[in-house]
Parts: sequence; structure tokens; C-alpha cells
Amino acid sequence: MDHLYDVVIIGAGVAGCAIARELSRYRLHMAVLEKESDAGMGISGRNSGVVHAGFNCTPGTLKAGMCVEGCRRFEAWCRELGVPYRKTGKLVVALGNEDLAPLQALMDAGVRNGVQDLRIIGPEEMREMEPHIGGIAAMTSPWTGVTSPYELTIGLAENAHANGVEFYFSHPVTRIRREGNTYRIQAGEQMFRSRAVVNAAGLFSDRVAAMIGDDTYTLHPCRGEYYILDKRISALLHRPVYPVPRPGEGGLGVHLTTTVDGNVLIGPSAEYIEEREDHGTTREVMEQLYQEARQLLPEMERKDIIRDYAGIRPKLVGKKVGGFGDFIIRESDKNPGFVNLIGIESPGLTSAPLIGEYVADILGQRLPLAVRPDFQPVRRPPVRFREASDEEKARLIASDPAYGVIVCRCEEITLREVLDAMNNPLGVRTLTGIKYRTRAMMGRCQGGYCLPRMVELLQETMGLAPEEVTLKGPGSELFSGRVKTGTCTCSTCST
Amino acid sequence: MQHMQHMISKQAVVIGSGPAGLAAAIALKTAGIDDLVVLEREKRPGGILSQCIHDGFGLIRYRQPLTGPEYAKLDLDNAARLGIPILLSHTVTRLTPDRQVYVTSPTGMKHFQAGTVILAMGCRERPRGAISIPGTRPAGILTAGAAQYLVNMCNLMIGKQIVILGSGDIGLIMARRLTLEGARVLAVVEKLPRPGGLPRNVRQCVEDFQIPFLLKHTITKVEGTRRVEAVTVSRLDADGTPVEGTARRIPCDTIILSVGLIPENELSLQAGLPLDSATGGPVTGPDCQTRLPGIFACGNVRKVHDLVDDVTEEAKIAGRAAAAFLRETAGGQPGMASAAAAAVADAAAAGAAAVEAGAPRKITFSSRDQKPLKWEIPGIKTREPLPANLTCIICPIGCSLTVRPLESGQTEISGARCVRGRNYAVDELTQPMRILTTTLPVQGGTAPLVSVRTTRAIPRESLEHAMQEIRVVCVKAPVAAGEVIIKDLLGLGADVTATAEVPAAPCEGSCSIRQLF
Repeated sequence: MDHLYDVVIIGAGVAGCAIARELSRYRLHMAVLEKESDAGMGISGRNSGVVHAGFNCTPGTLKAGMCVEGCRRFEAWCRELGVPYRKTGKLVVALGNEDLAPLQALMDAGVRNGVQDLRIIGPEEMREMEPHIGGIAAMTSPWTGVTSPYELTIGLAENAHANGVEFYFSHPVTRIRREGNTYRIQAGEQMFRSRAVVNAAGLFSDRVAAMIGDDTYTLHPCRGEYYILDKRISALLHRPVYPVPRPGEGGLGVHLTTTVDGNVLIGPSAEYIEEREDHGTTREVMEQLYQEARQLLPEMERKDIIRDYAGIRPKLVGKKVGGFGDFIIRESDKNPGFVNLIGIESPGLTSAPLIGEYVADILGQRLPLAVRPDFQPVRRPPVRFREASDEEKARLIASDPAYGVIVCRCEEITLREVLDAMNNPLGVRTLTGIKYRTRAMMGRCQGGYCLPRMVELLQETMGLAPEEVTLKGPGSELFSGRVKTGTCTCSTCST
Repeated sequence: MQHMQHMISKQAVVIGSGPAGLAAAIALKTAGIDDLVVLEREKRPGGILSQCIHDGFGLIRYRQPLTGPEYAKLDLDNAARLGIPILLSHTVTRLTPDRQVYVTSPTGMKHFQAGTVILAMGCRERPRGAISIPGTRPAGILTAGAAQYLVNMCNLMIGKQIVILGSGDIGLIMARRLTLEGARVLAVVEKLPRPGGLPRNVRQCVEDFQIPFLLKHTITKVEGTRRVEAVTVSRLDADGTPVEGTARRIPCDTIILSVGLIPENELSLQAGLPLDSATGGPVTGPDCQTRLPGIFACGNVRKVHDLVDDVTEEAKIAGRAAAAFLRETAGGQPGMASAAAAAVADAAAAGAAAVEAGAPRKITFSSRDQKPLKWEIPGIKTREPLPANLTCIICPIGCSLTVRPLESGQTEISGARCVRGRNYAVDELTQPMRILTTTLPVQGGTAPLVSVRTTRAIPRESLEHAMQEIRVVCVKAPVAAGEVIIKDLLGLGADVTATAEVPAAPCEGSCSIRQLF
């Protein structure tokens, strides 16, 4: 029942999963507790997916060090984890003369942080790189890249799981007590006991810290809304394009991001809000996003928008002060073996490889870290049929006819890929989980065609009852039951 | 490579086996083109009609109200009789300007070189993102077509308290469908000052059930973290901006989007076909030929149609024109103009009306151009005062009828273009009659449900009672299309018959074992 773990990690976001995966190198018994139904359902799945070079961070901060080094390692990390990554480079664009001095300051900060190959370029070179972008000058950052933030988080979780870490989804932590040298954690209906605890609860990390008496932290939720654009637009843009950040803003400014999948994102806005999980978009901000994005990319049209969404930044600095605080990653003063991660906002994704190691260093002083000889660092990437050559496709179909059935037409996702995703090692059976693992339902029809097929497959191959089909776990059921429940009295059927 | 399929030559490749694809293939075959194939990505042929279990199809072509599956079956049977091959689970993933067609299928990657290609991929629904509804993105938001598939084909109830955004025909049809199945439709919200769907659907799907129709309104906010909890609707001013102070919160658990259909043109774009900005489909000549010689487009992929009868008629033109194109190219005289001329001649020979320049012939109902008629009939006695206006729902024209008591004691009915309008008015004022369509659960079949209908219209006031009567019935597979399931429903003189067939599942006693492809 309440088995003793070595480490319990609270939160299956990119930080929690990176820590779990890093610690799974060692002989430790570990569990990750997550209130949502899957990894990467919070901040980690709701951002731009940009792997930052590190020029936005204040020199000398923990953030700056982690971001610059994380960026250098990111490509190899993604390759090991079977996760998409592209080193796209990035442009920070000055729209007017007033942006030129701040642009230079940005470059200076980048150089001081150790970011390589930054350059300020004039309009001709800009047009050569991005012919459809407006502006008078730009800084180019060749080291910036893009990844798929939810696929990365899921990849980390799956690799950690393959190396022995247990995952408990839909297990919100409600109470933590210290008992001598161990912690008792109430999560959902279950009690967990552990020698060490890592609080990687993202937007709720201040509240989790407070459960154990670390009540000095206050997070300020700051919402960022996004638009996702049709792949048509990706022909107009090769790399992320940002405006020069305005001082005091909660974010980096509304920017255009190319995704690893060939869509373009507009966003995010920055709006301090009261409710921590209000992922709603608003009419005003959506209009503002559209107008600002048009300044950067005049050719964009309203009909190119296929979806909107919002993410929420866990900011340590409130609206009055503005700007960014540094990451807080440290062991609690009062509670040995309890590590808090507070305010892990941008560039948390880029810093994730370092965050794992940093926490391992802290815990290494409390726990014996004996390397496991059977640690398997490599995660085989899922088959991506759409990216295969015609010859490979033919070979795949010959090996399994289910590769020959296209289930999601917009993204060209096959039945085999969907079935594999439904059988994922973490046991996630939600529609969003399948979407994040395959890209089915992410195309321009947004599931209008394939969502019903996903539902059929979940029932037919996973044996889910109508009431068990959810979008994202308990509370998000799609169906109230069957339309018809025939009261047949024949001998062959009992329903 | 050993696994690569060699190229298959075909005179004609038809993409899609919905009403357009079938009609085009039948026209090709009838014109003597034998070497043809229809490619269908689904595991069943017939296209979207199999989920459209309501009546109203074929009112022009067959002059009777068929359900979707019944309409599809007539073409499918015809295609089968003519020996037209339909390859199922075959998804076309690429089309080139020189008519090479690349296919992904469970039996391998296939590559066709076609003499002519007919695009008949139909249309898809505009999703939420395309109209940017502010608020959260919880479970319980579905497009009308997806909702229709889940309810009618999968036996899944999508919600209890429903708000419908947009008033396209599928949304209206679903308002009735869900109401009959016990859900409450709280409102149909339409941004325009008039409904989007056909008058007959407004009448028999919304007004019949006293569902509030909120014109010049839209949803300005969606609430709910995991499942929809409420929407806010606001009135719109002339520019389409929400009017302050008009916001109203409606608690609900489901939102159905019926906000437009877009021709499915991924392949057309890939082939480099120019699209018409007004229709969203490929630019075509009067013979349905696109700007690429030998590639034709018909049905909803060319332009979204209100009526399947129009789709069929247009597809016949495309099929004949494609056959003419093949004849000419075989004769060494490829030319778009002459192929068009042949198609026009064919159409004319078939007794069709003159072809408008630059666009396929608009279907004309025999009575549409007639003058509205007037009748005087013996006085109608109604419980309520006579309504000033009625919309005839017998055919898609939707004549506006005026009913007026005369001093002579007689009643005047005017505005209808044919006598069916007069009869409709009399029925509507004394005893409104409706065809009932629904589904029944099937045990041991390859599908969980079979679609059914009443063989004739029954009194509107009996609909609810009829649904209760039908609800307790369960059918055992196999079920044949047309099979009588309930004889003389409630003594109303109408039988309940299956409108589609459901074969027995290969595995005995199993209710839901289904082939995945």
C-alpha cells in the first residue's frame, strides 16, 4: 500500500519528467504524481516550443547558464529521446528606429551569456533570409531551434518509465506530511511515502511548497494566447521571428514561430490573470494577436487560422514589477530532501536537460546515487509514416497492412500509428493523449473527420465503454452513454 | 524496390464513392468507358449519405423523400450491376497535373496513370478555430457532421443540454435528431438575420420542436475546464460586432458547430489547380473540367450543394465530359473546348436545360419557374387562428404559402407552385404530417445500429409516442434494407422499415466486432 519510495516527483511537466528521466540512471525507486491525465498537459504542452539560445536571460542568472548550455545540448538530447528537433535559427526584428538600441542591448546580453554567432543584419540580408517579413533590421541567432514540447515531455516520461519510474496520472497531491526522515504524500485516493520529494508542480508549485510549510513563494499566473496557422503559411516563414521585447512585459512579445510540424504559431500575449487554470482565449487578445502578427507577416490572412489556445506562465514577478525573475531550484531550508522548483517559466523547456542534472546534484547529497548498469538512454521514436519515402511506406505496409490505412487525412496518420499510440507505455487512453502522440486531429480539419474514428478505435481495440472515452481524463467525458440501449431478450445477447 | 507497385494504367480514375463519384462513374461506364476504378478511403462506399438517416433526398430525381442510405443504395446497386470496381480503404495522397494518382492502401502503395481523373472528394466542415470562438476548449464541442456520425453510426449520445452554433442544414437536422433522442436543444444561434439551412429544415427540425432560434447572435464565450459548462451568447450589430449589454449565459454541456462546409481540395491544390475564391472549389468550365485537361471536378468538391439531386446531376455532366475527353484524346485531338461542347450536347440530349456560360447547369425544378397558384377550398376549421404564412416543406423550393379565410366561408390558399403545396397547407393546418427517421440497436451485426424510417408520414403529434414505442425494439442481424421491422406503428398505417442493411458479424454472439479496414 504505502510503499516507501526513494524519490517522489510532483508534476509530469517537462521539468518533472526531465528530473525523473535523469534520476532513472540511478538505483532509485521513484514515482511521478500528476494531477492531469498525461505528461505535458500544463505549461509544458502550451508554449511556442522554441529552444532558446539564451540572449533574453539576465547575465549571471541560473536561467542564463542553464539556457545557453541546454540549447547546446538540445539536439543530441532530442535524438536520444526520439523527439523532433530542428535548428532553425531565429530573427529578432526591429520594426522601427526606437527598437534599434534595445536590439543592440539584447545582442550585448547574449554575448555576455556566451551565446554564439549572434549578428545584427540590415534589411537586405533580412529579406534574403525571410522575404515575407517586415522591419528595418534584425538580430540573427543561428543556435535557436524548435522542438515539439509535448512530444519531448512524453518522450522523457516514456524513457523514465522504461527505466523503472512509475507514473500516476489523475493523482492530484492534496497533502504532504513529514514523518521523521520520510514524507507522506496524499495524492488522489492514494498515500505515497518517500525519502525525498521534488516539487515540480509548475503553476501550483507555490501551493505544493506551502503544504510542507515553505510558504514564502507566490506565483503570478500570466496567460499567453496563441493562434495556430495552416501549413500554407509555413511556405512564407523559415524560422521563428520575434519583435524586440518591450521592457516590463511578462513575455517576449507576440512572435511567429515555425513548429517542427510545419505550422506557424502566433503568440503569446501576456496578461496577468487571477484564476490559475483559466486557459480560455478572449476576443480582445485574439484580435490583438492577429493585428500584431500582421505587422510581422503582412501576407497572413484570417482564414489561415486553424485553432487558438492559451498557456499560463508561472511568474515569480507580479504585474507591478514586470519582467522576469530567476528560476528557484533549491532544497527547502526546513525540510531536508524536499526540493522546490518555483517559477520555471521560459526558458524552462530549453533548460530542462540542465534542470534534471541540477536536481540530481542536490539529491545526491541526501541519497546514494548508484548508477544502474542497465540504464537505457535511447528511446525509439514512433514511426512517422508521413515522413517516410515511398519505398519505406511500401515496406511498412508490407510489414503491417494497418500502415496502409490513413485515419487522419490532414496529417496523413495511419491506423498502425494510432493503435501504437493507444497502446502507449504510460497507459494514457485519452483523445488528447493520442493527439499529442500522433498528430491525428491536429490538422486543418481539427478532428472533424478523424475524431469519431478515434472514438470507435478506443472502443473496439481498447475496450473502452462510451462513458470511459475522455478528451483529457476524468471530468472530460465525451459521451453520456448510448443513444439506444435495446432491451433484447434473446439468448445470444445479454445487453 | 521490391515492395513498390508498378504503375497501373486506367482510362478513368474517380476519387470518392459518394453520390458524385458514383454518378460520374456510372456516366463514364454508360458512355462506354470500361477501364475505370473508383477509389474510396472509407471501409464502406457511399460517402456521407450513410450517416444522413433523415429523409429529403431524391425529391427531384425520384420525386419521393428518400433517406440518405436509400438514395446511396440506388446508385451503389446500379454501380454494382454495371460492374464498376470500388476499391475501399484506398486513400489518394497525391495527384499530379499529368493525372498520376498515388494511393495508400492496406494492400500497398499504388500508382495509377489515368486518362482522366474525376475529383469527387466532397467537402468537410469548418472547425471552431476557423471562426475563433473565445473561451476554453473542453470536451463537448463537436461539428454537426461528427455529431451525426457519432449518434447515427456509433450509437453514442453526445450530450443532454445542447446549443447549436450556426444554422446549416446538418445543424438543423441534428437539432431534431437529438431532441427525438431525449436531449434538450436550448438554442440555435445564427449570426445572420436569416437561417442558413433550407426552409423545410427550419420548419420541421426547429419550429416543430419549439427550439429557440437566435438570429443575429453568436457565441462570445465558452466556459468549462474539462466539459462544456456554459456558453455566453450576444446579439450582433450590423457589422457583426457583439452589442454590449446583450450577453446572456446559457448553461449547457454540448456545443454543436454548423458553421459551414468547405470543398475538400487538398488534392486539387497539390495538383496545382486554381481554386475559385467564391466556392472554394476548383475553377471549372461548363463541362466540370478544371484548368488541367482531363481532370474534372463535381459535387461538393467543386462547390457545396444544398441538394444531393444537384450533385448527381452535375456528376453525370462531369462523367459524360470525361468520356468525351477520352474519346478525343484517343483520336489524337485533345481539346478542352470540344470536350465541353460534347458534354453540353450530351446534357442537352438528356433533356437538360441550357447550360449557363462558365458554370454547370443549374438544376431547375419543373415547378420553380411557374407562377404561384391560388385555390379556394371549403373552410378549414383549426383550433388556433389561421397563421398568415406557411413554408411548404414538401420539396426544397420551400414555397411561401398564404392562408386566408374568405367571407364566403371558404379558405384561400395561395403562393404554392403546385398542388402539393395546397395539400401540405391543409394537412399543416389540420393534422401536420411528418416522416419519422431514427435508429434501432442491432445485435450481432457489423454495425451497432440500423437506420429506420416510417414508410409514410405520420401525425406530428404522434412523433414522441412513436419514439417511445420504437425505443424498446432491438433487431437481430442480419438486417436487409427495406425489411419491415415494426408493422403498422401505433395503428397509424405506417410501417417502420430498415433503410440500410446490417450484415451479421463474422463472430457469433458478438455485438461489436468490426473489421478495422
